[in-house]
Amino acid sequence: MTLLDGLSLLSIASGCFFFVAGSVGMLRLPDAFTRLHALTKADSAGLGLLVLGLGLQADSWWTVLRLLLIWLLVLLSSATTCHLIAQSALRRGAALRRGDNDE
Amino acid sequence: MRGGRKTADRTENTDEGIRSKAYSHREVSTMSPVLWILDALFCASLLGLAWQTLRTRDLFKAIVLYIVFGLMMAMAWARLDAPDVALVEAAIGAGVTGVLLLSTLGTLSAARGEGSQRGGAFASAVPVAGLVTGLVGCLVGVLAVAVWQLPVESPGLSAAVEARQEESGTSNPVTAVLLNFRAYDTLLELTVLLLAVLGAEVLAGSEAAGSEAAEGGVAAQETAPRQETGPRQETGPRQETGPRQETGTRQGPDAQQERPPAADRDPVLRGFVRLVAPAMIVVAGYVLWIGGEAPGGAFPSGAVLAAMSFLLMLARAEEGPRLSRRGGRWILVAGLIVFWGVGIAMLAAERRFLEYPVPAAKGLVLLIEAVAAVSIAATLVALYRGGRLVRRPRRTVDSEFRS
Amino acid sequence: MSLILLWFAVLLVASLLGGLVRILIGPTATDRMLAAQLLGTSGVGVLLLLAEALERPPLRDVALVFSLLAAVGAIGFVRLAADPVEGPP
Repeated sequence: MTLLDGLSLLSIASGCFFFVAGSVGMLRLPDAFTRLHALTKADSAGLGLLVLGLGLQADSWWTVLRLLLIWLLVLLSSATTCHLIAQSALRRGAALRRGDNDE
Repeated sequence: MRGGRKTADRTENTDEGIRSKAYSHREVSTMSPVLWILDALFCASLLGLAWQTLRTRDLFKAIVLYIVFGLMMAMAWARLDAPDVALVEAAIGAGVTGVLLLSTLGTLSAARGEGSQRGGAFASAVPVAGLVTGLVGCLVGVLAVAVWQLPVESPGLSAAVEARQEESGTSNPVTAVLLNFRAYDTLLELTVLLLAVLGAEVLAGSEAAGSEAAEGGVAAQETAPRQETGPRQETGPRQETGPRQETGTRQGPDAQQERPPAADRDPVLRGFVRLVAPAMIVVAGYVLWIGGEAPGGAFPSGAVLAAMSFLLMLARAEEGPRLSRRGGRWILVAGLIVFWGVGIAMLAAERRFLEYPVPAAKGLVLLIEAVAAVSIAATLVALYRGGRLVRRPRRTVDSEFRS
Repeated sequence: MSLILLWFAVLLVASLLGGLVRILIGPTATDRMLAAQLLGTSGVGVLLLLAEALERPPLRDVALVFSLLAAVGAIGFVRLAADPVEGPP
């Protein structure tokens, strides 16, 4: 196993860690707004590290380009949709978790 | 198509072609435990999702579960080495169907009054449920017996397809079958799509009823936020003013009741659609073009185009293309017209119906696919709009607030 | 190498199924939609891993379509689904 393979696997493993953390956060965090936080980490960091790791192994620049394009699209759409979902949740009056500075 | 010369030596053929290549990896054997675990996870989650989708009383939950079912199904098709099906499933199952169902739910809620989206009617239908369960059970039993009696290793027709691949004008076996060898089937599928639109239009009834039904979803989300301005908590108003001020049309705080919901003029959504809609057109074209040699083709391409139209409509970016209603109808049937036109032209050239001459096959297949993709997209959009591609122009709030 | 990538894919699918539980238990529509978004992104990850591990480049196109259409469902949710006011828990 070369150094490149090692780096690539390390990056993929870290990416998977973020995905798992996202799922755990989705289950454990107390309300929709904090769960949003868990989701966006998986989208941006998780998929980004995964794409980096796979890009290191890719056999052509065309593949790297496609991987990057996919990541950028996911970044863009996840940022937008999370903003919209949070906004609509606020509009619908979803309850924030009580007991913080808001009260 | 009379192939079958090479049915016996299948191993020779399996070395080439994207679809027929069996799982012969350098490191991962077919029996590897990791693939078993992956397959088991897919099977379990698909069955579980299907069961939960059917079981739940909450219609919104059922829709989300169904969207997720589409995503999982696409992944399962990918794992099963059927990327063509995975593409269509990803585009239609996960994207287009989700929006169609959500819009239906919005219409239902608007028609029945607020908060009535629980499927209460099903609760009293236990005998019907029993009957349906029994019938479905019989069907599953019959299917199970039929599958059981299939030969274990059926050669199928893939060898026959590969034998004549070069004459089809495309190097993707799936496209070759869909657009050349079995073009009849695809022609009839397009007809079925058109019938579906006709059905939707008939069900939508008269012009007035039609536009009402199609706009029910929009009306629902327009009224809902306004009703909720009352019970909003103290965090609400502060957050609401943010996006409004960014659009630069400030008004006094007294005018709050007359304003549309903030999302209507959300600059983030507008900007997103401006970036992504052109990208989707490019991807639709790419998927269509690459269908000649790799997974892709008219159906996924049309679905991506339809999803782009949904985005535009949801963001109210534009009213859509400026079309007369007659023009809309022509677009709906264009795919079929070109398909029939090519078929009849072949008859005129003293060939059989839809039997292309080999040198022209590539061009003809691409022509049919391109027009069919547009018609498929138009069909999906028309289904979303209650059977009509072009609606009677309505007194829109959109035009007032277009930035 | 492919074998390790496949194990990572299994890990992602398992984590994705964990996120599914949030769709089942809710409690609000927003929570369900968020979980669906997470599943979409994880699905892109799974497809990219499978494309590399099983040597199937076309799967990257499927991932591309996934990433394009992930937003459509969520925006449809925001704009179409009339949701009753979600009260305090």
